[in-house]
Amino acid sequence: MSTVQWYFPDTIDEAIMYLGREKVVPHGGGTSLLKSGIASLNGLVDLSRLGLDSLKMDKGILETGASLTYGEIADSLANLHPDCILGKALGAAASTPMRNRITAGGSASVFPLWSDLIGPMAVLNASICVEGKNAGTYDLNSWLADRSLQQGSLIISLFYPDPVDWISYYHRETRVGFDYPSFTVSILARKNGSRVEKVRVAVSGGLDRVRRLGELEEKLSGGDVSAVDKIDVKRMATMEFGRKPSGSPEYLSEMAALQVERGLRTVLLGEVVSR
Amino acid sequence: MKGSFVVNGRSVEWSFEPDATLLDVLRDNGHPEVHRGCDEGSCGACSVLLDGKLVNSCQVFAASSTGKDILTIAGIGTIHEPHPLQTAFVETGAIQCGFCTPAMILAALALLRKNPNPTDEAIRSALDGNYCRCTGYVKIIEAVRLASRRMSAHD
Repeated sequence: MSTVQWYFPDTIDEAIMYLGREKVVPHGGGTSLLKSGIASLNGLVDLSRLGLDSLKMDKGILETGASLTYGEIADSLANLHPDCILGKALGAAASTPMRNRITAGGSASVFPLWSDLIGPMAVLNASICVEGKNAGTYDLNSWLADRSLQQGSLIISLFYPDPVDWISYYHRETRVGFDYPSFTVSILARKNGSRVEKVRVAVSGGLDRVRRLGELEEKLSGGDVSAVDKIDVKRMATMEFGRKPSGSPEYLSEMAALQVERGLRTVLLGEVVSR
Repeated sequence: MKGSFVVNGRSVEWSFEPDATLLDVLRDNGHPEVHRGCDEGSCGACSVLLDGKLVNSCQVFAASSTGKDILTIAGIGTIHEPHPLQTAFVETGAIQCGFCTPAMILAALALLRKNPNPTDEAIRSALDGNYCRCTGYVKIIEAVRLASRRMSAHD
């Protein structure tokens, strides 16, 4: 018989008070707590009454509330900014009923290896707004580096500066559509004619969770699009992977580098590459 | 713990364990039409509409669903007055063993409420969380297309 206590706070302050108690965690509606089990917990804080479910664009910065589901974000962005990489990625994640449950905040709290959120967050230079014991706004690397930031705290929203008007490419490596991706590739580019103004590239799913390919970005930004044929993309896009059901570390490393190259050719040269 | 729900338009109050899933609670309280499949959110057989949105009821805590509207297949039509989607599934032969069918129809209903004239791609996307191991999906997509045409004609 489970003894876990459910709390249904109406305010963020009330939620944070509960989260300050031992072994009490937030529940936004997603599935990670179901999978991990709640037997060892003392309490769950339901976030549905906190109003963290708005999507706003203010002064070019997109803010998504922590309780918004992948499905809600993908649907809103499909209408407002169909080329935004965030909408493309979240709209392709998991399956329809799962997208209707997985929340942005829950995902940013757990960041599973197969996350479809982490790559777009990396290339969009997203940050995570938190209230409670560690109140503040954290960039992705700081957040990933210190899991203790989550203790006694609550993710309120995610911020994406400058999220639209990019040429975007998102690839999730799966064996079948509804599978967890073994890695993802996120690319943003801005061009002026044949000149590349800016490129951002991130690969998730490797040993680093997510990695921006800084050397590659530097070599391509400010040059001509033809540079993609002249530089060693594969070397700069190679990263380490662990063993996964979908392939060996060597295979995944090779495939990720290949998909980065294909993605760059798609966004910079307009090539359509089939799998 | 106790919680109130509105199931197929009827207000109910049920007792359940704090870690019970919505699937457990529905099946324990007279809703065997919600099928237990994989129990891990992959197959979609347990799908219901929760406040109008398709969810895997095996992946939802009952506690987090209190106060919400739940629609199961039993709430959309009867044997004497079937929903156009139910009729379309029968007429196109989109049913074989029938295990996935209740959830498949609810997935289609959620789609048609949002998008009354979906493309085949939109139908495939909307049904991407519902497995059928008999039909191969061709007849199912045909059934959704047929229901869409009929429901649009009635509007």
